[in-house]
Amino acid sequence: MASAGSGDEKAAAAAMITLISSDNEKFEVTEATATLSQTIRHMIEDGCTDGGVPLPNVTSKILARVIEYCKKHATAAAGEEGSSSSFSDAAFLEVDRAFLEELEEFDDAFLEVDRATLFDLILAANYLDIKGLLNLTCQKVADSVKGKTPEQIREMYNIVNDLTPEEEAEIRRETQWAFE
Amino acid sequence: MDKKMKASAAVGEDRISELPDALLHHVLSLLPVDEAVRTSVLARRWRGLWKGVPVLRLVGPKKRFPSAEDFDRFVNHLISVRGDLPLVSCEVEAYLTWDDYAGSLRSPSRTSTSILGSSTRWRARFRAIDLHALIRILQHTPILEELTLQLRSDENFLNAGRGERKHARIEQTFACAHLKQVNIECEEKLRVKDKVKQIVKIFRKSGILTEKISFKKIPRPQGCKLTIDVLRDSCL
Repeated sequence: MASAGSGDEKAAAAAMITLISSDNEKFEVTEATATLSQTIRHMIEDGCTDGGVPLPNVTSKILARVIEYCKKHATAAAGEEGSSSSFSDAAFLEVDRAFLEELEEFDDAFLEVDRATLFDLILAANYLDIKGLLNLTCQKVADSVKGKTPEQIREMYNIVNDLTPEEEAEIRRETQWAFE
Repeated sequence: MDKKMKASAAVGEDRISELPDALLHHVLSLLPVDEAVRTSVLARRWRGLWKGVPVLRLVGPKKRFPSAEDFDRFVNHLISVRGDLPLVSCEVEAYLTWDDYAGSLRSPSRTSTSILGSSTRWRARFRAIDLHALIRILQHTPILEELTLQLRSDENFLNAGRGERKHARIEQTFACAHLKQVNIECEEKLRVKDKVKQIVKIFRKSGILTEKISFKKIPRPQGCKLTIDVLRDSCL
């Protein structure tokens, strides 16, 4: 298990990668930061990052936020390296607890965004394949609907109920067992 | 936060329904199953969407269901509606009451056989550690390949232990022919050590060689639940 500290050294020695947003803004990041994205990691492995990595699906506003997230989490990821399984949370426990708490605070603050930005971040995390960010942002949405009635959820997310009253009654009958 | 949320709501865009199925599945996978099912009535886009979610979270039964029978009925209904669609991970929190420790543990009767039995290759991880429940689940999952047990000296650990004292010995065994590895992650506490010894004894009685069991020390706990992760070849 590598300590959080060795991640910094690794980052310092690593090459820089240029990411290019859809509105043509360039962002210089370390390889350690960029490779939190599996999509970019694969591009680096294939040796096709010279001249920058164009990300036509991500605006500069969103990319800046994503990079902010990746920078913060790159050190944590360095400590996790080697555990490729989905059971990495056990390994995660060994990383310094104080650092984890700091990360949690960062994540909470990071999620203080308007809803449009939240959905843009979900789409970017999905496109760039950044598991941690995808989980974090999807969790935020899940938490927001937890314990709400269907009517409250529709109102919160502007979901237009396009079901006919008959259809809705039918679905309610079908799912009655979950409403009891 | 709420103010910002309202400001964007005023724009009136339905961003959530525009998400691709895979991302909505991801969001739904983070909800307790009953809440995920209830999203079916939101709009046409959401009808039956929950069925494709490869994760089931049967959590907080005591908060969500008035009795163990209600929880059992819900799970049975869920399984019959969902059928055998791909499942990657299943989290089950048993419905525990004080009385249950005198008898057998009430976990939904069909979970171990129906949900878990359909997978081809899987690993399981348990955090609540009532030995009767553990053996009962192992008896129903002969295809298990890797098992992880986390033993921690928190409240649930002590509660589970309380029940076991009523049964001086645990006589039951299980047969897991495919079990290749048992990982025991434990806190370094006397009470935990006793439990570990007990578990190793049960495993040996059931034909699991000591060489297959590995140990790891873990720091203090956060929360306690029973998690079963199912890895299914078809989903990888």
